Amino acid sequence: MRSITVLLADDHTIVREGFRKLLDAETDIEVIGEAPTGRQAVAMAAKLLPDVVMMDIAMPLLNGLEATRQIRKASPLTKVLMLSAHSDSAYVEEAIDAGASGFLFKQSSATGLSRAIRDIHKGSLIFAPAIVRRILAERSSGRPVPPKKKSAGLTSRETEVLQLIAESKANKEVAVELGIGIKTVEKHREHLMLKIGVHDTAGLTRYAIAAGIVECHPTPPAR
Amino acid sequence: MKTSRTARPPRQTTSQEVAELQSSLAEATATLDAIRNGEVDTVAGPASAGARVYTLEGAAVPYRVLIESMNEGALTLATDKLVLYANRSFARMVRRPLEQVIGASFREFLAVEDRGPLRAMLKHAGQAGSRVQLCLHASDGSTLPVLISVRSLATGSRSALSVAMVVTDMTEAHRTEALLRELAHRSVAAQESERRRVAVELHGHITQMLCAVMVRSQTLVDHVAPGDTIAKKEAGELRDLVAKAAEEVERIARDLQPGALHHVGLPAVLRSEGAAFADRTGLAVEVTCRASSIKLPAGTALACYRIAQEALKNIAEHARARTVRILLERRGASAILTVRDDGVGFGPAQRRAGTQKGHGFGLLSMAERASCVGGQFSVVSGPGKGTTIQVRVPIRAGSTGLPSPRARRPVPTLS
Repeated sequence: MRSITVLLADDHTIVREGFRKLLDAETDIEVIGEAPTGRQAVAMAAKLLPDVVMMDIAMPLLNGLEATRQIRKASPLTKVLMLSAHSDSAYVEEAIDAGASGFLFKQSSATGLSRAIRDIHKGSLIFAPAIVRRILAERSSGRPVPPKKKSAGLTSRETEVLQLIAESKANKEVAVELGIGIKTVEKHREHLMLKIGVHDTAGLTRYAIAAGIVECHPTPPAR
Repeated sequence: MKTSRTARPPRQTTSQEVAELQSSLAEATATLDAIRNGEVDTVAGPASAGARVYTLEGAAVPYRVLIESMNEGALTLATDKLVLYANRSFARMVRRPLEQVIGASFREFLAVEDRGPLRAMLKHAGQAGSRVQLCLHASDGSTLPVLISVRSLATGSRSALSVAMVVTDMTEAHRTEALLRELAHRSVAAQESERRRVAVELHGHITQMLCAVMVRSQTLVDHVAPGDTIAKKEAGELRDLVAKAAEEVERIARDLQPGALHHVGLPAVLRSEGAAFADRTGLAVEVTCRASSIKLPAGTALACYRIAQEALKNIAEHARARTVRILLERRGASAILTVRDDGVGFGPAQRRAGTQKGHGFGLLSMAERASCVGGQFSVVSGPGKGTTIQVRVPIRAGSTGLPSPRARRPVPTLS
């Protein structure tokens, strides 16, 4: 079986070193590169086409959010796992919007990291427990996430498209997956935003998670 | 001394007339001298039916000396705002000779836009007296900010003598106030930049190092021989301790100043702040950002964040609210942040009591934060009505929809 290829992007050498040593022990995961800046991460991702990029959110030259956006555009099959040492969930929305498939806090990332990488590679969304709590909490506040009307009048095709979008698939991937045209996917996306009442991918993803359309695995707490 | 105008006899010869005129002239000269020397206690003004004579009663010499020598301007006005008496300090303020001041209408010495308030002020003077800040209009076109204290002098029959005023030059006071404000703004800016520096240092070095140690401890856990349960347990606990330390450092860094404000902007930070507040307090918090695309200058975003933070702190401590609404929207060249709760609210009485206990600084510091970035702050509350605080800030740095040069300093208002 081919191992999962991983690119480490972090401006702190000691952190990259730590992750590399940790992942070296996994037989099915192979670290194929390390990037100390966002710009280098984009360049290396385009060249190496890794399965997963572990991306630090704050990096010099190009921050992790923008780097994620560019990587997802250039190499839609590469999944991005965002790592943040900022204990602030303010970044999560931006990260989802940029196309990240997961968001972990560095402080509690070590336990279960390899499992998170495998899950993300398989197409799951991975979020730190605090973030999942927040997304679920937003259901009860006034945000446009109506959980009760689970379908929100969505057709089953729309639900399918929503799930794939929420799993950070690009329009092209969704089209391939469902065997439909890219134009049709775009149309579905528009309808979804209208029906759900959001205006971006982050909104769709939030809705999908809250409505249980996609599964969101919290990583186990570090203990 | 007294002056008066006498009615002219019906017929006179030329020489009589010349003599009369000469004596009138001498009298007028004496009057002018008296006014110049501040010796006048009676003024006669023209009136439709004959002459009107005003006399100052009991103008004792010591009081006169006192009033003539003080730095403040002193005036008495008749009900029709005619200046009956003015000291030399006032004449200096309006840059006119004293004789042009006495007998003139007081309105002439006010800036046009302050003539309206004058009427209300005089009306209000009543028994209690009142104070008002106005601008004097000097003869050379310059203006002078002054504080005027008004007292009614009306005592029954002598209603013609209406009010006494003391006029204080506020130029220096305003300058001092502006300096103090500038100093306060600078110390806030210095404090914030220091906080940022420490936060960045903590986050960039200590946190990363602790994270690296935590990751390495996990590697250690993974590599301990399966049989060595003691070592495995130790390594696991080590990892958890380090993870806790990293979280703690990060919490301190965030409390100092959230880096997210610089990286992802105010709307996202307001949302996470609202969610964290809801988590902590159990209140329902709704955050709406109708202006997610606007990019505020760093200092402005920080001021808004601090104001929201202070408002939430007040809500948690005093409001006994159930729901909180935070709204960020754009209106023209301004961004408006509103924090509204449905709590117990407060009225002027509670506010005074709070200030005495040293609680009133929250509102004051919010107002100062807003003024630092050229913004306006207001709070509307009332017992049982909840509290709404609002801050309006310019979206572009340096541009300011306010305050106009003449605007009074933004004081928190209460309904």
